[in-house]
Amino acid sequence: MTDVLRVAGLTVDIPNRDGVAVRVLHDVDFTVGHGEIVGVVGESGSGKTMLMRSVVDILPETAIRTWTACEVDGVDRTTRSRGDRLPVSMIFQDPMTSLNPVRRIGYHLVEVIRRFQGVTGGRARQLGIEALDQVGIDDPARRFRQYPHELSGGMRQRVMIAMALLAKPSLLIADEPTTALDVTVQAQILDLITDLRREARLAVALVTHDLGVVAGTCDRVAVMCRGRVVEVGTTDEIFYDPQHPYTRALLAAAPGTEAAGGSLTVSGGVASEWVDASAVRVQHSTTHASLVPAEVAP
Amino acid sequence: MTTASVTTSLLSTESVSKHFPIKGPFGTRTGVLKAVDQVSLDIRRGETLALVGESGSGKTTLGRCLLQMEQVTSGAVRYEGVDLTALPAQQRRPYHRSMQVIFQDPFSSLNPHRTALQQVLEPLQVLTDEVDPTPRALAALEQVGITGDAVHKYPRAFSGGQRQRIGIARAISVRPAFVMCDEPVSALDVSIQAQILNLLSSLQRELGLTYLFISHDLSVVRHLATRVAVMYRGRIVELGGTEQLFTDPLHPYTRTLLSAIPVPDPRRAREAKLLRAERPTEWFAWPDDPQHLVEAAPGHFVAG
Repeated sequence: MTDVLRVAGLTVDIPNRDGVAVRVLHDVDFTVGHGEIVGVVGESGSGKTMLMRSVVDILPETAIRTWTACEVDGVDRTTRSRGDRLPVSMIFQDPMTSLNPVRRIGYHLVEVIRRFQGVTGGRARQLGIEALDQVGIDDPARRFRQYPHELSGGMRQRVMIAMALLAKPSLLIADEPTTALDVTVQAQILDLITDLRREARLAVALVTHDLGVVAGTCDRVAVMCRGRVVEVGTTDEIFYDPQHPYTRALLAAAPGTEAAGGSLTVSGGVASEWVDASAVRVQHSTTHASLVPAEVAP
Repeated sequence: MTTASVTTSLLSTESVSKHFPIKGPFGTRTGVLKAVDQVSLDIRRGETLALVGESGSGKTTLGRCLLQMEQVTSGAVRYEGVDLTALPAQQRRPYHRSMQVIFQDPFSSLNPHRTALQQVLEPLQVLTDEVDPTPRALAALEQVGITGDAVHKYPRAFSGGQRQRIGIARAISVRPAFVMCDEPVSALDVSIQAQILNLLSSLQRELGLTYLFISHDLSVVRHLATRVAVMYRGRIVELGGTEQLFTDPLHPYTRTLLSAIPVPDPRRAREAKLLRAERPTEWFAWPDDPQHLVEAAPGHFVAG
């Protein structure tokens, strides 16, 4: 079976103020399979958002992107013209700024339905209300008429998910979708995403800095550090058998709920010493790979 | 109140309420929001009391009432037995020195036009009679790990974690007894969070500080707190020792909150998801008397 998304050899350079190119992604390989939720974790500045932005073509204008492969649903997308529609939807961290404050919820939904399904009028309205119902919003007909500020943060993120799904995507990219939300609401949104994956056989790429979110939601995890994917594996492999020192440090820094008292292990910020240019990819099993310095590679 | 609790309590609230008017069109008053509703709480000397709850549950408002940053609608706030709400503003001044605060956002809580040293000097100049406060400011900065030329740099030269260290130095420079930490690490990366939490713990040991730690991150709370108070819609629904509360939560809202914590362990996270599926989150009711907390186990109180 082909993957829903396959990116290979992705490198992105962004010139800084002095015109010097800064490499934000180094030779990144990334795949998401059918019905799979893949977590992308790393600290701020590790390149996780840039990876996603590369896929949906919303990099900063000055960015220079090269890749050896980008396939969505088995179709090559390395070169594409403006207006080529990708079957990919993306939702962002802040559901307030993602919605137009002077337009009703219904307007946002109907706009997507009109553009992606070619349906208008009463039928579009009905589809919009059904979409709200599908993402677990109570009294969807009333919410359809309300403005974004009348909804809570969790409810707005549900609206964003409903809009994303109305475009009938093969892949949903969620960039820190629950970072701005309370724990209980976060749990609801993550449960919704897992349920949708099952019902709609949706593939999901979930970008987060929270290892707890990954542990409870994802099937596979890619750990990013300084623009590289340093380790990739199933969630259990990453959490119970981490191979890369950076992954271990990240896990040690997370305050687990069992570790009361004592000192948290501190990694000293973004650890450049763990990622060097000579690193090579080592395959530990069919699903598990990590980057190790060339001299230690078997 | 027993004599024993009088001696151990540093700061306490007695049925404190803070109501905000809800304004309708043309400034008409359409209702009242009970942000804090008759909360009675004791903060014991030397402990870290965590206040947890969702956004809008009233935890920050309660903290602001304790520090007199908000005028309470009713009730009393006592510091070492003295009711601060009854004192005129001038007489409250000495208490400002004893009660300090560390804010959530290290980017907006520092003045961009002042160097690290100037930031820390400010509370010393305002709240103490020190003739030359510079040595004390430098000592405070050293305690948080900012030394050498760095003290003359402006906030923009520092990372989020370092800025939070400056905020902490500001708070401890005047040698307070009580520090309110309002979500001090939620704006920081995980590895930086760990550094700041370790710093807060070691400062508490060295300086004998009492913390009120406001947070929505329950993993952080479990790591740091002595006791935990759970707030829900302006009221305390459960209060107990940290381990007691995490291992044996009594109020249904506490249980929901705990099952929602993202655990960095796939197997336990799967168990928690099953638990959540059985028990959907709902609106929890409480008895008419908001002060009614039952002692279910020694030191473990629950509403209802």
